[in-house]
Amino acid sequence: MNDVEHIIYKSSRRISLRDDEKAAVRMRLLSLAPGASISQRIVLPFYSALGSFAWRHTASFAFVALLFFSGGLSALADKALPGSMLYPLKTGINEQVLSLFAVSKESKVEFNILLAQRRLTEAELIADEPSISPEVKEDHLKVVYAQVTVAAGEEEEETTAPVTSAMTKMAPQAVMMQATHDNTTPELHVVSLMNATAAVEVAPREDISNLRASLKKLQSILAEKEHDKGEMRERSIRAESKLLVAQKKLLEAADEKISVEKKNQYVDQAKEIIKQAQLFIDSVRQESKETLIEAVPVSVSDKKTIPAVTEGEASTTKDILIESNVDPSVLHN
Amino acid sequence: MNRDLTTHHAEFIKAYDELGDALFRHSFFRVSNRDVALDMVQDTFVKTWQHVERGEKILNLKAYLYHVMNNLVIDYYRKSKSSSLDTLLDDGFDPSDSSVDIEEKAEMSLVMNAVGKLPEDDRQLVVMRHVDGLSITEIAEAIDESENVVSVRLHRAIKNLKKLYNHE
Repeated sequence: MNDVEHIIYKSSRRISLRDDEKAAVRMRLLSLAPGASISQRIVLPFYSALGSFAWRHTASFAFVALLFFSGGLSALADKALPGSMLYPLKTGINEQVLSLFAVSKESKVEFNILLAQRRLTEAELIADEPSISPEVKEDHLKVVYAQVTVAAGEEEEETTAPVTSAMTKMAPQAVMMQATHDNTTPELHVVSLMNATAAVEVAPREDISNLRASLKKLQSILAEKEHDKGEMRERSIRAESKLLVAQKKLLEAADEKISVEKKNQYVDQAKEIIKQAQLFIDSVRQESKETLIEAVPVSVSDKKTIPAVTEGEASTTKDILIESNVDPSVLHN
Repeated sequence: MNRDLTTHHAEFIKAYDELGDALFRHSFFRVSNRDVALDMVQDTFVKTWQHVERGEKILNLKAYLYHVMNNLVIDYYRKSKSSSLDTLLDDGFDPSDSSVDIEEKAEMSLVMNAVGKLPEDDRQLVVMRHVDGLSITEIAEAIDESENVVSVRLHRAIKNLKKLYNHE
């Protein structure tokens, strides 16, 4: 073998799968074994995690295991909603196992978005369900927000902030979050954000349906735009994430129970986050050779100073919403 | 449960344990993107197993795996229309291995640069022969060509590679 061939060989020996990558692919291939079902795939993590529990509750565990191993429980758990006994199986086991199949960076992002969409759908399903307690609904909304934040990679933002909105806010907020991750552009997200914010108080089902329909239509358009991947897509996601956090801050600022000082704090934070989002949007716009949809400007004016608010005065939430072309009255009854 | 299929699956997992790294290396050299290469390894094995499940016969599993991966690489280029090693060459060769000294790294970069300038068909043969260590017979089987054709093309590819390398 001469030098060139030897160098190629030597270079190639430096490249190999990492242990975690190798194990993840192996797990995926093992799941293809004849007769394997998703329930069988999750036996080990399930057993090891709840081993001690199983010893203490042998009979009931055996019964559950029998059902579970047969595949029935796993399938049932997939349809479970928050508050149900099977829901922990869905999120703690079924989805954890599925996450093992997302081996690459891209597929992990897709998987996190899928989970966010699942949580959103659940939020909508339980919103009007009287048998589910308000506490469970509120807790689930926190989970929704955390999952959406994870999907957007918004690590630096707080993920466990208290959710102050009433349950009537849940559905439109959920739809807005759905908008965030349905491959829409940042500009579209601004529209979705504002629409969803505007719908907070009324929460009519028609609005949700309309938003979903719009999103589906835009999804189909975006599916044709292969170029909207890679770095541009990442920036879009970052912008969407920022807008999502800003929207949450505005919702929190609209809560009548909090102090004016706290309102100002939330609004300032929202304004700053929207500016950051604007930077991402601008960079995406500059690089985009074709416009996917008609751009909707995000107007965060540097010239206009938000006035300091004292007790009894209008909230600065109103000011920032005016700048963002949204009727602020929707946030204040 | 089909006992034969279960046996085949055990052999299939064994093949992954033995060939996973080699296939990853191959795809990495062809597409120069770790994540894409990883997905390709998984897809290669999944598609191969689906073939087995349909009852199709595979005479040489190793050659068949490379055949499937080669098709995935071709699909990838059709979709992305990007040149395989361009990114790698732009960024410099980085095997993410701290044990590689600067001189060795530079040498690798030069040869990778030369490999990247080869036409895709020639690059494929060079990678299969000198990265994967496949025999002429296995390469012939993987790309559906005669051994004679593979030998001639590989000889020509190496000749071109040396020219390119010496001009770096």
